Amino acid sequence: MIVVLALTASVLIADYLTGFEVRLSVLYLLPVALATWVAGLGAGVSVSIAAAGAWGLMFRASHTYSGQWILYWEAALNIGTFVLFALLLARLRDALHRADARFVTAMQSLDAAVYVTDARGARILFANRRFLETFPDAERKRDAAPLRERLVETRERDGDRRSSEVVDQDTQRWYLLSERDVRWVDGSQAELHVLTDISDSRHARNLRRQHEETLHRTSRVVALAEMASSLGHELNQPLGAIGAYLEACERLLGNPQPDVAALREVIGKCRSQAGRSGTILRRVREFVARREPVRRETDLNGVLADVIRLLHAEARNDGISIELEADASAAPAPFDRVLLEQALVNLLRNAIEALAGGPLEGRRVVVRTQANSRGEATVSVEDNGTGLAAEVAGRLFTSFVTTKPGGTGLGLSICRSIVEAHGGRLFHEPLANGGCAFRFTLPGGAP
Amino acid sequence: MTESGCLVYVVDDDEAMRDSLCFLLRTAGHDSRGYASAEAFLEARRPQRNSCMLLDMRLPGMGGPALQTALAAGGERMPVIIVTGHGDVPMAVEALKRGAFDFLEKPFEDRLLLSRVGQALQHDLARRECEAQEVARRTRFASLTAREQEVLARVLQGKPSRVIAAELHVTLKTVEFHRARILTRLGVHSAADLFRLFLAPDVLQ
Repeated sequence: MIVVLALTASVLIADYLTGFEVRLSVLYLLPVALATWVAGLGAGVSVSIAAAGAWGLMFRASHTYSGQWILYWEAALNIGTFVLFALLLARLRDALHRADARFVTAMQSLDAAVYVTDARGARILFANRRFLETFPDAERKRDAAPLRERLVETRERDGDRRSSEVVDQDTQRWYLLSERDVRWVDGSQAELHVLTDISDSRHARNLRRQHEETLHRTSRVVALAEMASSLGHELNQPLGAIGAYLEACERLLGNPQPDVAALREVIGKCRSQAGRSGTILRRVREFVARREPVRRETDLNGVLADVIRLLHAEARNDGISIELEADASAAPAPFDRVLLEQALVNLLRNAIEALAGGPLEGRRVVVRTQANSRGEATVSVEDNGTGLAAEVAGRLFTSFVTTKPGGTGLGLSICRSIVEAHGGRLFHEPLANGGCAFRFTLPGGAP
Repeated sequence: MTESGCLVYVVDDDEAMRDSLCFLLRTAGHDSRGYASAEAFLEARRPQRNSCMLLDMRLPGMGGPALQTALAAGGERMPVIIVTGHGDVPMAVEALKRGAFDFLEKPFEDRLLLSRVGQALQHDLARRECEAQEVARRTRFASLTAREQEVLARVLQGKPSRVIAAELHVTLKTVEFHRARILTRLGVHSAADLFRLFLAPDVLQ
């Protein structure tokens, strides 16, 4: 206010001293502008009237017009100009104010936590209410470094999309973090970060996945049980018949003069029933094995890369990274690609499931190929989990023995059959870091 | 092979099973006949002999349970031994409720099978004797005159001759006369024999 008055007075004095020869009255706009911007339209209008009045009084004291009305006209012109200026400025000020309020309201009511840091990501320039509620400490210090430590990235970024999933170490909640470069109000380069809480949807997604997995496994177990049951029914017939025939033979032999011809006939029938049992079993085996390995020149490392790609998403969901350490000297050899993929999928799934139950940090599966001078390749699937209990390790390859709810206990047996069909060997090794490794060998060249 | 007069029906759709069971039963001294389906069994002529049946529950066509029901509806009371596959226990329980003699689960012990068949045949024999006596009793009762039947019914109810005479509006002497005739006609010597003969509960109805 004092500044406004001082300004007005100084313009007035300057005007008076120059004898109103120079049109300084335009300078009254300065205090008017100041008053309007700081205190609003009312103050602007008041200052306008005061300035015009002061000008009129001063002018009248020192000059005389040929007509009184000229003075009034000029005073009115001044007032009009000043007030119009104050009005326009007030409108501009309101508009700016409203635009800012709209932006702030939108930001504050967002469900996502939004914050802006400088280009280096060190200082927090802006944070919305949700952010302040979620991370009160970070805002107080205006320092983004502790925040970076608290939010741990669990997935690698998806290419250029600049979004990643992070987990808050303090609250164990999950966020989707999206980042984007923006030009900040002062013109400097800044980074806009949006944190969306995805804990609930993530939880729901996990539940759904587990549910699907359970369903899938249950259906497999049911199918297996169905097969076992119908196999039992089918085998009952010839075995029952054989039993009855043999019992009859025994009775015939109990006679003082056994009927040799009848005995011979019955033994023949027994043999044909034994053959029938064999046929049933062979049919089951064909059904299970389905086919002989179809060997084609196959690049082992390529198969590994494909399988890892296949299980990548599944592993990433559990925060597990799968690394391939391929030995480039592993030459292509005649393998059945589909069977080999099946074996690898089984081994990798086992590793993923072994890790999923353990600590979150540093879950890692390494798939390795090593070729030796004889062209023999060794494939290893190593995890850094907690390893296998001794009693489990002893029965690893026993069919129908499982540690997983809903498991069939066939996965590793199938792996072993596949590896052995290729002339290789599958074995298990505990690792020094507590994890475990499954390795299999594959002979190179002609099988 | 001995001819004991016993006949075992084997109803099983599996040819080897049927053949082996029949063969085993024959070596054990039982005559046996095999049928591949319930329909084939129902179509066949069956002699009135001491018999029992080995019935597989899983049959093509009408199936084991339906055959059991059909037999019961036709008044056939021969003992039926149910043969079920593994895990068909609820089916076997249902069969027992329908009146099956016993059930065997495949694969079964053959000696057990033979002993059950023996028991079933024994049971059938006893039942047949019982039924034969029943028939004999009915023929004898029918051979009496109407008045004699009236008197006999009252005698068996334990009424003294005096009461019977009053009820039938005849003299005591007439009742005594009828009683003597009844004894001679039925070839028994005393009232006690009469009671023994007609103790079956349904004969007086």
